Amino acid sequence: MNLGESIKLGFKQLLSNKGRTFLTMLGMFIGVGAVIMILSLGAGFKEYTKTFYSDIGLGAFQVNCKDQSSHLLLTADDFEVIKAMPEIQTVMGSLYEKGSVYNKKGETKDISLFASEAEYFTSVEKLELLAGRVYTEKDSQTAAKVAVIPDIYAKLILRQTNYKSAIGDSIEVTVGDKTEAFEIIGVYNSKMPKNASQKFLERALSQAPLYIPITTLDIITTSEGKVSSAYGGIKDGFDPKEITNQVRLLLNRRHSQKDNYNVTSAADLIETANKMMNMITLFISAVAGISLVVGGVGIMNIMLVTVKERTREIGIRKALGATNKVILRQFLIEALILTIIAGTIGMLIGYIGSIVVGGMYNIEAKLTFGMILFSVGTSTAIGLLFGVYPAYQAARLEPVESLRDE
Amino acid sequence: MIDIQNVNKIYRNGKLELQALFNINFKVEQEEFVSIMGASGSGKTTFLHILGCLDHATSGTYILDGVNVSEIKDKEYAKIRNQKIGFVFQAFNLLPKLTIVENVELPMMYGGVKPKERRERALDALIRVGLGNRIKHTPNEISGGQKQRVAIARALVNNPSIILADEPTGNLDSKSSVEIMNIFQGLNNEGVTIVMVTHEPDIAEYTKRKVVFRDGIIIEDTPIMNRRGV
Repeated sequence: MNLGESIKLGFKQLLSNKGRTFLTMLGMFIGVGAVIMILSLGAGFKEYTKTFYSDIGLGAFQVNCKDQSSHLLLTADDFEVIKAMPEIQTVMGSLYEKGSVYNKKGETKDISLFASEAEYFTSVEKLELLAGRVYTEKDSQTAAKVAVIPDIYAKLILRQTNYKSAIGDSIEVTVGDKTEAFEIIGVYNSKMPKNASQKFLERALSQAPLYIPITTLDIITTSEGKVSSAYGGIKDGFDPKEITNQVRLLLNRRHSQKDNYNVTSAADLIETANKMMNMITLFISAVAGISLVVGGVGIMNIMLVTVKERTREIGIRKALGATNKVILRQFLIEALILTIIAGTIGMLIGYIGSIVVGGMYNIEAKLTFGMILFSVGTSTAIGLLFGVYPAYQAARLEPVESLRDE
Repeated sequence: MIDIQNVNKIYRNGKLELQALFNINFKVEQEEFVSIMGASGSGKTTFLHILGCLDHATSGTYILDGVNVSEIKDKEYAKIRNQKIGFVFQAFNLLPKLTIVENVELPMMYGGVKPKERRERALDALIRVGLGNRIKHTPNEISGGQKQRVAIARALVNNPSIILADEPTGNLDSKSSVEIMNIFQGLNNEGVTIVMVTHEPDIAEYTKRKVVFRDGIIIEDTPIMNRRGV
């Protein structure tokens, strides 16, 4: 009996009891599936954070005021002092405001406004424009009432998918009790998932801001040039961690505060996000590892039952000339077929799961060669580990004894 | 062809010892047809298992086809069972999930015969026992007599030196029993050596020589005078 025949017989044997085979595989599905799902999502998440910050650069940093009382907000003087630091490339204030607009049906929709300097687009965030332009220094100086809108705004509020024809349209934005008309000068790509649902987009609408010059925002709010947040960039060659710490100390000192200003660099954010992801991966892998061991014990259990059930068959085969080695191989192959198939299916389930979950959070699931190797490797190892004992039990059966088995 | 000298078999179960065979000496020549008789517990089945290399003797020598198999290891035992011995059991011992022809092919599978040759030889063997037409059926779809014929075909198919049958008619009605004994006689006439355990005296009368066991020793070894079925 050669290897091919043993494998064929193994499949035949497993197919002859489909229900049991499936139930035995369940534990492996869950174990391998969970690991692959989290690894695949983790890889996608890392990729996502990397591309997210690649537009900005690792030296970019963000300043936030915790207490946003008027006297604690950032002023033009603060910016002058920060800009004077030799390591600082640039720094600029920005303001985030909630507002609302009416759609074509006359319903109110929440939106957000992001007010910034024109320089923001060149040194902090590079918008991917689908039509039109971003505002310029000149727009900023004249406090022009212009806005760069997200593509989903055009889709959901203007009912317009031809972004070019949206340029030049006027929209009315309400902030507090003031309403102002803005001219659309550009449409940017808000990078929504391709298959995102309508509900998802509606929710995203209030998150994807309309960009307006910071000087223009002063007209509709009472900010008086004070801002609650700022963006800046650190010159190349300096340690973002150290410089952001210096900026933090400086701001707290200037406002006589202990800890009212958060200064975070993109590098910090990536590090924190990756750390968190690694923790989650480790935790889920540990849980999945337990599930794999439990699944393996289940497989061993079933294989032992199979050996018991097939004692007479083993006796007959031995009487007809099957060696212990051939019998051992037969049962080991059955365990391996069971675990490798279960591992492969588990991998596919995990990958599909990660595509579904990733789709909800705009993360592209990744299935790397390493993950495939992991799935096949783990399932082979489990098959060998938990299959060898039952196979050994089968191989060492005495022919005379096993022929007597009813 | 078979030369058994001073064979003892002792079963040990913890402190308990049970001697099943005492100093057995026994010879079988080519083309013999031997029946082994005896009451239950007389040692006849134990003896057949030793003859069939399914079990080791505790002491003594067993020479099969000039080879001292009492000194052989388990792995070689499997090979000897495969090449030199054909078994026929009381309970047929066919594998229920395989078809009839696949059952007959089994010994050749373990003997490393190529698939095409296997099928040809299995069909030949089935024709020899008069079952050339039901090859695609499973054992559950045929009668007891037919099952035993399949088992005989399976025993024949590797051209063994000897066929060992353990109560081959024990599960059969008298008509089927006669059929099976006729097949055995036919094969014996073609030169096949057969040793058969039975407890039915009239079945033993189909053979050429009768050996009787009692309490682990041979008490009678005589030729059959008035053979049946000839």
